[in-house]
Amino acid sequence: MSRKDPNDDMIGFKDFLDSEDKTKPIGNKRVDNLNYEIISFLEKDAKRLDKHISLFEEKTFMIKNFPQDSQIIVELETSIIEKRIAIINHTKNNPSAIIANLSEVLEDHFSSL
Amino acid sequence: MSFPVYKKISINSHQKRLIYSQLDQVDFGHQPFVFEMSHMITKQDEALTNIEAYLNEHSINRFTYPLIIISNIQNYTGSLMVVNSLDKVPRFFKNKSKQLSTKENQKLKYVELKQTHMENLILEEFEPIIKEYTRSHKKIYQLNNENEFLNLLTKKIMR
Repeated sequence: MSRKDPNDDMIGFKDFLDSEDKTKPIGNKRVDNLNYEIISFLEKDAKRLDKHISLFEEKTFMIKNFPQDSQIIVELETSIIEKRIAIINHTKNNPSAIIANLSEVLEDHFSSL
Repeated sequence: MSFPVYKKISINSHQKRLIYSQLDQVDFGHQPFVFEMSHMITKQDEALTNIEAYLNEHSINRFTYPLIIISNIQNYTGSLMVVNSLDKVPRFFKNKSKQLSTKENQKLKYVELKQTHMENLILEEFEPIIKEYTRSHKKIYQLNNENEFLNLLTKKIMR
Protein backbone atom coordinates (compact mmCIF):
# COMPACT_ATOMS: atom_id res chain seq x y z
CA MET A 1 0.00 0.00 0.00
CA SER A 2 1.21 3.51 -0.67
CA ARG A 3 2.28 5.81 2.05
CA LYS A 4 -0.04 8.74 2.05
CA ASP A 5 2.58 11.49 1.82
CA PRO A 6 1.23 14.30 -0.38
CA ASN A 7 4.78 15.40 -1.36
CA ASP A 8 5.74 11.99 -2.65
CA ASP A 9 6.05 12.22 -6.46
CA MET A 10 5.72 8.46 -6.79
CA ILE A 11 2.33 8.30 -5.10
CA GLY A 12 0.00 5.96 -6.94
CA PHE A 13 2.82 4.58 -9.04
CA LYS A 14 4.25 2.67 -6.03
CA ASP A 15 0.92 0.87 -5.64
CA PHE A 16 1.22 -0.30 -9.22
CA LEU A 17 4.80 -1.49 -8.72
CA ASP A 18 3.95 -3.31 -5.48
CA SER A 19 1.09 -5.14 -7.14
CA GLU A 20 3.37 -6.52 -9.88
CA ASP A 21 4.72 -10.01 -9.45
CA LYS A 22 8.46 -9.83 -8.62
CA THR A 23 9.37 -13.14 -10.19
CA LYS A 24 10.66 -13.01 -13.73
CA PRO A 25 8.48 -14.50 -16.43
CA ILE A 26 9.75 -17.87 -17.62
CA GLY A 27 8.26 -17.78 -21.09
CA ASN A 28 9.53 -20.09 -23.83
CA LYS A 29 13.19 -19.99 -22.99
CA ARG A 30 14.90 -22.25 -25.49
CA VAL A 31 17.70 -24.34 -24.11
CA ASP A 32 20.45 -23.91 -26.63
CA ASN A 33 22.32 -27.16 -26.86
CA LEU A 34 24.25 -26.25 -29.99
CA ASN A 35 27.79 -27.38 -29.72
CA TYR A 36 29.68 -25.29 -32.21
CA GLU A 37 32.71 -27.54 -31.90
CA ILE A 38 30.81 -30.35 -33.65
CA ILE A 39 29.32 -28.02 -36.27
CA SER A 40 32.76 -26.61 -36.98
CA PHE A 41 34.21 -30.13 -37.25
CA LEU A 42 31.47 -31.23 -39.66
CA GLU A 43 31.93 -28.09 -41.78
CA LYS A 44 35.67 -28.72 -41.98
CA ASP A 45 35.06 -32.34 -42.94
CA ALA A 46 32.63 -31.27 -45.67
CA LYS A 47 35.25 -28.84 -47.00
CA ARG A 48 37.88 -31.60 -46.92
CA LEU A 49 35.61 -33.90 -48.92
CA ASP A 50 34.86 -31.05 -51.33
CA LYS A 51 38.58 -30.67 -51.97
CA HIS A 52 38.87 -34.40 -52.68
CA ILE A 53 35.95 -34.23 -55.11
CA SER A 54 37.47 -31.19 -56.80
CA LEU A 55 40.79 -33.01 -57.12
CA PHE A 56 39.23 -36.09 -58.69
CA GLU A 57 36.63 -34.43 -60.87
CA GLU A 58 38.14 -31.13 -62.02
CA LYS A 59 41.87 -31.22 -61.52
CA THR A 60 42.42 -34.71 -62.91
CA PHE A 61 40.37 -33.70 -65.96
CA MET A 62 42.67 -30.71 -66.50
CA ILE A 63 45.79 -32.80 -65.90
CA LYS A 64 44.61 -35.47 -68.31
CA ASN A 65 43.49 -33.17 -71.12
CA PHE A 66 45.92 -30.28 -70.79
CA PRO A 67 49.17 -31.73 -69.43
CA GLN A 68 52.02 -29.27 -68.92
CA ASP A 69 54.58 -31.54 -67.33
CA SER A 70 55.94 -33.10 -70.53
CA GLN A 71 56.63 -29.66 -72.00
CA ILE A 72 58.35 -28.48 -68.81
CA ILE A 73 60.49 -31.65 -68.77
CA VAL A 74 61.55 -31.10 -72.40
CA GLU A 75 62.46 -27.46 -71.66
CA LEU A 76 64.48 -28.41 -68.60
CA GLU A 77 66.29 -31.23 -70.40
CA THR A 78 67.15 -28.89 -73.30
CA SER A 79 68.43 -26.26 -70.88
CA ILE A 80 70.56 -28.86 -69.05
CA ILE A 81 72.08 -30.13 -72.30
CA GLU A 82 72.88 -26.58 -73.45
CA LYS A 83 74.50 -25.73 -70.13
CA ARG A 84 76.56 -28.92 -70.11
CA ILE A 85 77.82 -28.17 -73.63
CA ALA A 86 78.64 -24.59 -72.63
CA ILE A 87 80.54 -25.76 -69.54
CA ILE A 88 82.45 -28.44 -71.47
CA ASN A 89 83.42 -25.96 -74.19
CA HIS A 90 84.47 -23.40 -71.64
CA THR A 91 86.58 -25.88 -69.67
CA LYS A 92 88.20 -27.09 -72.91
CA ASN A 93 89.22 -23.56 -73.78
CA ASN A 94 90.09 -22.38 -70.27
CA PRO A 95 91.13 -25.39 -68.21
CA SER A 96 92.57 -23.28 -65.41
CA ALA A 97 89.24 -21.66 -64.52
CA ILE A 98 87.58 -24.96 -63.63
CA ILE A 99 90.55 -26.08 -61.58
CA ALA A 100 90.54 -22.82 -59.69
CA ASN A 101 86.83 -22.73 -58.96
CA LEU A 102 85.51 -26.28 -58.98
CA SER A 103 86.40 -27.08 -55.39
CA GLU A 104 84.75 -23.87 -54.20
CA VAL A 105 81.62 -24.53 -56.25
CA LEU A 106 81.29 -28.12 -55.08
CA GLU A 107 81.88 -27.12 -51.49
CA ASP A 108 79.18 -24.46 -51.74
CA HIS A 109 76.73 -26.87 -53.32
CA PHE A 110 77.22 -29.86 -51.03
CA SER A 111 77.41 -27.84 -47.85
CA SER A 112 73.97 -26.40 -48.65
CA LEU A 113 72.39 -29.86 -49.07
CA MET B 1 24.18 -42.27 -40.38
CA SER B 2 27.62 -42.54 -38.74
CA PHE B 3 29.46 -39.61 -37.24
CA PRO B 4 32.89 -39.31 -38.95
CA VAL B 5 35.12 -40.05 -35.95
CA TYR B 6 37.55 -42.91 -35.47
CA LYS B 7 36.05 -46.33 -35.06
CA LYS B 8 38.38 -48.78 -33.43
CA ILE B 9 38.38 -52.36 -34.68
CA SER B 10 40.41 -54.98 -32.93
CA ILE B 11 42.11 -57.48 -35.24
CA ASN B 12 42.46 -60.69 -33.31
CA SER B 13 43.75 -63.10 -35.92
CA HIS B 14 46.33 -63.16 -38.68
CA GLN B 15 44.41 -65.76 -40.71
CA LYS B 16 43.17 -64.57 -44.07
CA ARG B 17 39.72 -66.17 -43.69
CA LEU B 18 39.04 -64.53 -40.33
CA ILE B 19 40.38 -61.13 -41.35
CA TYR B 20 38.32 -61.16 -44.55
CA SER B 21 35.13 -62.06 -42.69
CA GLN B 22 35.84 -59.33 -40.11
CA LEU B 23 36.52 -56.68 -42.77
CA ASP B 24 33.39 -57.70 -44.70
CA GLN B 25 31.36 -56.24 -41.84
CA VAL B 26 33.13 -52.86 -42.02
CA ASP B 27 31.36 -50.03 -43.84
CA PHE B 28 34.33 -48.26 -45.43
CA GLY B 29 34.06 -44.71 -46.75
CA HIS B 30 31.76 -43.28 -44.07
CA GLN B 31 34.14 -42.82 -41.18
CA PRO B 32 37.83 -43.27 -40.40
CA PHE B 33 38.93 -46.62 -38.99
CA VAL B 34 41.68 -47.62 -36.62
CA PHE B 35 42.67 -51.28 -36.80
CA GLU B 36 44.29 -52.26 -33.56
CA MET B 37 46.66 -55.20 -33.76
CA SER B 38 49.43 -54.24 -31.33
CA HIS B 39 48.01 -56.71 -28.77
CA MET B 40 48.80 -59.61 -31.12
CA ILE B 41 51.96 -61.28 -29.89
CA THR B 42 53.06 -62.80 -33.21
CA LYS B 43 52.36 -62.61 -36.94
CA GLN B 44 51.35 -58.96 -37.06
CA ASP B 45 53.09 -58.66 -40.42
CA GLU B 46 51.00 -61.49 -41.83
CA ALA B 47 47.81 -59.86 -40.58
CA LEU B 48 48.90 -56.58 -42.17
CA THR B 49 49.59 -58.31 -45.49
CA ASN B 50 46.12 -59.88 -45.40
CA ILE B 51 44.51 -56.49 -44.67
CA GLU B 52 46.41 -54.94 -47.59
CA ALA B 53 45.31 -57.82 -49.84
CA TYR B 54 41.66 -57.37 -48.80
CA LEU B 55 41.75 -53.62 -49.49
CA ASN B 56 43.32 -54.16 -52.91
CA GLU B 57 41.01 -57.00 -53.89
CA HIS B 58 37.89 -55.10 -52.93
CA SER B 59 39.13 -51.72 -54.28
CA ILE B 60 38.37 -50.05 -50.96
CA ASN B 61 38.26 -46.29 -51.18
CA ARG B 62 40.87 -44.94 -48.76
CA PHE B 63 40.70 -41.35 -49.98
CA THR B 64 37.46 -40.40 -48.24
CA TYR B 65 38.55 -41.35 -44.74
CA PRO B 66 41.88 -42.63 -43.46
CA LEU B 67 42.50 -46.18 -42.41
CA ILE B 68 45.13 -46.45 -39.72
CA ILE B 69 46.81 -49.54 -38.30
CA ILE B 70 48.13 -49.62 -34.76
CA SER B 71 50.93 -52.14 -34.73
CA ASN B 72 54.40 -52.73 -33.34
CA ILE B 73 55.84 -53.35 -36.82
CA GLN B 74 58.91 -51.21 -37.45
CA ASN B 75 60.04 -49.75 -40.80
CA TYR B 76 56.84 -50.54 -42.66
CA THR B 77 56.96 -49.27 -46.24
CA GLY B 78 53.56 -50.27 -47.65
CA SER B 79 50.57 -48.21 -48.63
CA LEU B 80 48.87 -48.16 -45.22
CA MET B 81 49.46 -45.77 -42.37
CA VAL B 82 50.99 -47.73 -39.51
CA VAL B 83 51.56 -46.14 -36.10
CA ASN B 84 52.54 -47.69 -32.80
CA SER B 85 50.00 -46.00 -30.53
CA LEU B 86 46.64 -44.27 -30.62
CA ASP B 87 48.29 -40.95 -29.67
CA LYS B 88 49.97 -40.81 -33.07
CA VAL B 89 46.85 -40.93 -35.23
CA PRO B 90 45.76 -37.60 -36.80
CA ARG B 91 43.85 -35.52 -34.26
CA PHE B 92 41.28 -34.16 -36.71
CA PHE B 93 38.96 -37.15 -36.37
CA LYS B 94 39.41 -37.48 -32.61
CA ASN B 95 35.98 -36.24 -31.59
CA LYS B 96 33.42 -37.65 -29.25
CA SER B 97 30.32 -39.06 -30.86
CA LYS B 98 27.14 -38.05 -29.04
CA GLN B 99 23.49 -37.19 -29.55
CA LEU B 100 23.37 -34.49 -32.22
CA SER B 101 21.07 -31.46 -32.35
CA THR B 102 18.91 -30.65 -35.38
CA LYS B 103 21.47 -28.23 -36.78
CA GLU B 104 24.31 -30.71 -36.29
CA ASN B 105 22.24 -33.40 -37.97
CA GLN B 106 21.73 -31.11 -40.96
CA LYS B 107 25.49 -30.63 -41.24
CA LEU B 108 26.03 -34.37 -40.91
CA LYS B 109 23.56 -34.99 -43.74
CA TYR B 110 25.55 -32.57 -45.90
CA VAL B 111 28.75 -34.49 -45.06
CA GLU B 112 26.97 -37.72 -45.93
CA LEU B 113 25.99 -36.25 -49.28
CA LYS B 114 29.66 -35.55 -49.97
CA GLN B 115 30.56 -39.09 -48.89
CA THR B 116 28.03 -40.48 -51.37
CA HIS B 117 29.51 -38.23 -54.06
CA MET B 118 32.94 -39.66 -53.30
CA GLU B 119 31.55 -43.19 -53.34
CA ASN B 120 30.07 -42.63 -56.79
CA LEU B 121 33.40 -41.52 -58.24
CA ILE B 122 35.26 -44.27 -60.05
CA LEU B 123 38.57 -43.79 -58.34
CA GLU B 124 40.35 -46.43 -60.42
CA GLU B 125 40.06 -44.03 -63.37
CA PHE B 126 41.72 -41.16 -61.54
CA GLU B 127 44.42 -43.01 -59.67
CA PRO B 128 46.76 -43.63 -62.67
CA ILE B 129 46.42 -39.97 -63.75
CA ILE B 130 47.40 -38.73 -60.29
CA LYS B 131 50.24 -41.25 -60.04
CA GLU B 132 51.59 -40.15 -63.42
CA TYR B 133 51.29 -36.49 -62.35
CA THR B 134 53.23 -37.28 -59.17
CA ARG B 135 55.92 -39.17 -61.08
CA SER B 136 56.40 -36.39 -63.63
CA HIS B 137 56.59 -33.74 -60.90
CA LYS B 138 59.28 -35.70 -59.09
CA LYS B 139 61.21 -35.76 -62.36
CA ILE B 140 60.69 -32.00 -62.82
CA TYR B 141 62.01 -31.43 -59.29
CA GLN B 142 65.15 -33.51 -59.99
CA LEU B 143 65.76 -31.83 -63.36
CA ASN B 144 65.25 -28.41 -61.84
CA ASN B 145 67.80 -29.19 -59.12
CA GLU B 146 70.31 -30.25 -61.76
CA ASN B 147 69.56 -27.16 -63.82
CA GLU B 148 70.13 -24.88 -60.84
CA PHE B 149 73.41 -26.60 -60.07
CA LEU B 150 74.56 -26.11 -63.66
CA ASN B 151 73.48 -22.46 -63.49
CA LEU B 152 75.61 -21.98 -60.42
CA LEU B 153 78.52 -23.82 -62.02
CA THR B 154 78.28 -21.73 -65.18
CA LYS B 155 78.13 -18.51 -63.22
CA LYS B 156 81.15 -19.42 -61.09
CA ILE B 157 83.45 -20.74 -63.79
CA MET B 158 82.66 -18.07 -66.37
CA ARG B 159 83.18 -15.01 -64.22
